[in-house]
Amino acid sequence: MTTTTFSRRDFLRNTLRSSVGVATASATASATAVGGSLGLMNAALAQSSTRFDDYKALVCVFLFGGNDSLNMLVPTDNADYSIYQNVRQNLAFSQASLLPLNTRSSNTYPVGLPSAMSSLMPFFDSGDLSFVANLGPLLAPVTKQSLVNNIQLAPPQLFSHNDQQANWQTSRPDAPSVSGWAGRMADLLTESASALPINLSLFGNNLMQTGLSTSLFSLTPEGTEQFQALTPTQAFNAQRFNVLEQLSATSSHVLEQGYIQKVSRAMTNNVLIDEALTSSAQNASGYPESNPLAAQLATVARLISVEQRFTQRRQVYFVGLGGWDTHDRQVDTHPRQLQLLSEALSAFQTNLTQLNMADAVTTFTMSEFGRTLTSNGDGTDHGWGGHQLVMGGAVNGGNIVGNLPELALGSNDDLDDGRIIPTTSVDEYIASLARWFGLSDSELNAVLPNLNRFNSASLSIFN
Amino acid sequence: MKVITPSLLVFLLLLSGCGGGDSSNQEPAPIADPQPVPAPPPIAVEPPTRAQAAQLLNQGSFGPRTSDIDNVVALGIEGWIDSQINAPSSSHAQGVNNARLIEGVSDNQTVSRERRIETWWEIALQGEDQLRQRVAFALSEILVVSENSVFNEDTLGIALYYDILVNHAFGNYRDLLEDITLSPIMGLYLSMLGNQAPDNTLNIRPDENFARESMQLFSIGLVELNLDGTLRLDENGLAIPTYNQDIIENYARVYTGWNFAGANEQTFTQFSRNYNSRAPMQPIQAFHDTNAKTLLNNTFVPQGQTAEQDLAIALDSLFNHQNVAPFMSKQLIQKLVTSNPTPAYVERVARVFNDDGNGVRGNLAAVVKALLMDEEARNGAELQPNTFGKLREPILVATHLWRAFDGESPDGVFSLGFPEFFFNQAPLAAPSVFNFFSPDFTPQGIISDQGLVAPEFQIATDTFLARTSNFLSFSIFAGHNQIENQTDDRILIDLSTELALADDPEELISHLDILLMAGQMSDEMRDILFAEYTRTLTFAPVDRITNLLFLIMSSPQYAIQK
Repeated sequence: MTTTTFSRRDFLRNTLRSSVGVATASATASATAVGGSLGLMNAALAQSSTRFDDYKALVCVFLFGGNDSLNMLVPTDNADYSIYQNVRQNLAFSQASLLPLNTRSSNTYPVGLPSAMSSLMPFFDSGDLSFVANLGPLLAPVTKQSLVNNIQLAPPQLFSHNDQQANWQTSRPDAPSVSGWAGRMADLLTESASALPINLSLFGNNLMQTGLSTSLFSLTPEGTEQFQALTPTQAFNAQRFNVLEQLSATSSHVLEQGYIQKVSRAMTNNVLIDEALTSSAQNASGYPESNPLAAQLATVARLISVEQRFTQRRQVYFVGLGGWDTHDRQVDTHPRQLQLLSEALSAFQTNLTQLNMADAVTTFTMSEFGRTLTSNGDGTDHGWGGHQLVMGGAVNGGNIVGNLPELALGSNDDLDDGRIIPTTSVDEYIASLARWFGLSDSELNAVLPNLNRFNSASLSIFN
Repeated sequence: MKVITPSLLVFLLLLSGCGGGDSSNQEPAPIADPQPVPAPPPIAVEPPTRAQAAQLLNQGSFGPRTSDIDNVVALGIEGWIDSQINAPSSSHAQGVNNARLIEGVSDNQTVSRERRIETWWEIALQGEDQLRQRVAFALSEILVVSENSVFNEDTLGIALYYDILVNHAFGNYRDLLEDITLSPIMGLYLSMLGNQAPDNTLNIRPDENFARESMQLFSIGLVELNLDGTLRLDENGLAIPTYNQDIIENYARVYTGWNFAGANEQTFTQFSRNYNSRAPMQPIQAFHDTNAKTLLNNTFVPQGQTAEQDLAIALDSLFNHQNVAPFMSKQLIQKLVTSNPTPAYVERVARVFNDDGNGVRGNLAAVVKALLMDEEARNGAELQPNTFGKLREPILVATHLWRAFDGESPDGVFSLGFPEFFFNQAPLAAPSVFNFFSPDFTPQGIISDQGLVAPEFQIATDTFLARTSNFLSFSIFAGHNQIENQTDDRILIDLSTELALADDPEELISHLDILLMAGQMSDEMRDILFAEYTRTLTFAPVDRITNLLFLIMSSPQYAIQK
């Protein structure tokens, strides 16, 4: 068995002579204290042979619990609204309250947003926001008739939260996977094992950003955290660190080795990111209070504002918002969720524009499933297809991409009880995002092994 | 089920004394009788060594104290487990109520979340019913409710839910399943409360939330299992789903008609008016779906039955499903002993789940005893030296520190009301019904490459690895009682025993080896620590000791409980 140790060499190279990580909160480390390392950081950047000249970031907003997105794009014309109202009953938004979307191109019925999403209207109108209709995990394109004959044509465990979260994050509904699509992208794009990970998460561990050879880095909206008593740059801590290295070198246990890998990476990357954040990041402003998604996105914007300090020209961020599993009290809770989402996205996009980063960053939502059109009295249950948002300067905005489903119960889009059969696969959605990110066709097929089962053309998400 | 009114409940709680030490309590609440555990075949048993005793206490308590180790050595492994099974239980609701009385808060008001968590610390650190509480904590991460819900301020209601887990930790799984199903806190969390019969004119179907998650997470899981916990496969080599959407919908119809105790037909939808988290839910038959239903294994529910009759059949059908034994046994093993048990180990425990030897199914006392006394639990560290064990949950690192070194708070309150800041976890505060971490989680890198799982790594993120380390540095270097003028609300460890060994490093390291690592320290590790201690001989004795303590608890060898 190979033995891993705390990588002191990497650690020291990355921390340099900085004094971050001392017992005082690292966030207070002064610009002077870390300034000494700036030149070396930039040198490291210059030395790396980067594949891309430009910087781009993908920001995944994962809506945990299953967003009832069939209540997010609501028909506005009388005939279709009447079908919607008849199906959704007490869960229906009133027709008068809808904010009509003036789509630049759409091949389906006219829709509007619930008033709780008003803060996103300017972005749709200005062409920075589009919706992608009726997405979901698919093994292959499928019809209602074929599913009725053989439900195994649908991904297994169709209405289970964690299984469908995994399907969105791995794009492997046909097989268990220990890696996610963004992790596999990072495996391809990472040029130096010691560099900051391409995948950064503000919402903890997730499968999407887990690669086979690369790992995600996780931080909180408050930033990073330093190992206050194990910092090798301080004399006394350095001795402890040294002892810990010796202890690690004696271990041959697999879980201990895994622990050493995790701690070693945490030590290195916490310092690296903290240096960048404390030295030059702009403080985010204009974000709504008491909005956990906004707090995460504010920190993402701060990190993006110092992307030059990192060695990666491509980054993927993961943020999340729970509370979408609206089995009950949906009339109260779902509009509140939509408002949290809309206000957070609105503030983020405004901030990116201020940072002159709007064109370099594409923000998109995912959610494990849509929900039943039918009600359980005061809420909805787990469905399948649902709509997602894509936002950014590069987005061909003001559109609804794909096909909105028929809303009448028993239609060809309705598997049963208003569980909608997706007409566009998660693979096609991810492929469109990944092409914009810069992956070649062969790389796309490596990242998305099932992509060739679907229409190979990109969705018209980007300009 | 007996109805307990709020005032009666408080009375009972007050009657039952404090801290769990009152063995005279004969009242039905909150203590449930343990199931009888059959005597195993007589075998000649050597008394356990101190190291073996400490290993058992790592698995079956919140951390070994010296006196606990003495106790296990005296009673033997089995004797200690039996004594723990029979120990009176400590009540979390009682702790919350005591805090309410101290604060002078009236019966119909709640105390803050910190009081509930402080009660948890007090019981974890000082309760005599360690094994029961440790199993209850494991159950709290399997049969999950979370304060991240509409009842988030109802600290007493949440504590009462925890007490269900405590009271049934050594009871029968069938009773446990029934009590959590009828808990109004669970009813709110997974929206069975207020669930009603279908109304086709309004396109209303019954709520599927509890029906689905109770099968996926609380009883049988998603796919059919062999008795040893491995997947059953069909002729094409594929996993076999345990249920389909149709089964879910039938269970959803069973779980209709239930509401807060005291609600009635007229007030069925009046949530605030009916709110009552202190008594089990009650049925209101007019809202129950009385049509026939077909459940798992073709269990038939005839039409025209009451909500209680339907429920009894439904819970029996879950309880009797062939998956329950391996599903629950494996998860309990993972929570207490090892992340990657061998199938044979799972099967041995699952067999006890199915039949405790007296023909009783679901006897959790027997299951816990079997999983702790199993040769793999006792000798796994030697049998599988490179894979046995589990990452310690960070909150259990804290309880370990404070138990091993007699942590005390001068003001009597264990003031760590927001443990998630350090540990990414807090009792009954998971982000969702899927708990803080999944039993299937595997971290990227060597563990995943070897095909192993390590559930607790899911919350060991870059931030929280650092915060847990900082918690240790804060609590060891600045949290001991050799420092003068500590504030009263600090939890302080007592290092007087260790100070007495300051001039005998061999003995000191052996002592720490037992308390922290169950005597599993390698010679190499001892040598490295000895050299470090020698290097620090110019330090004050207490500084040498805290340095050693911190190093051990920061080591990968400690992080993985074996």
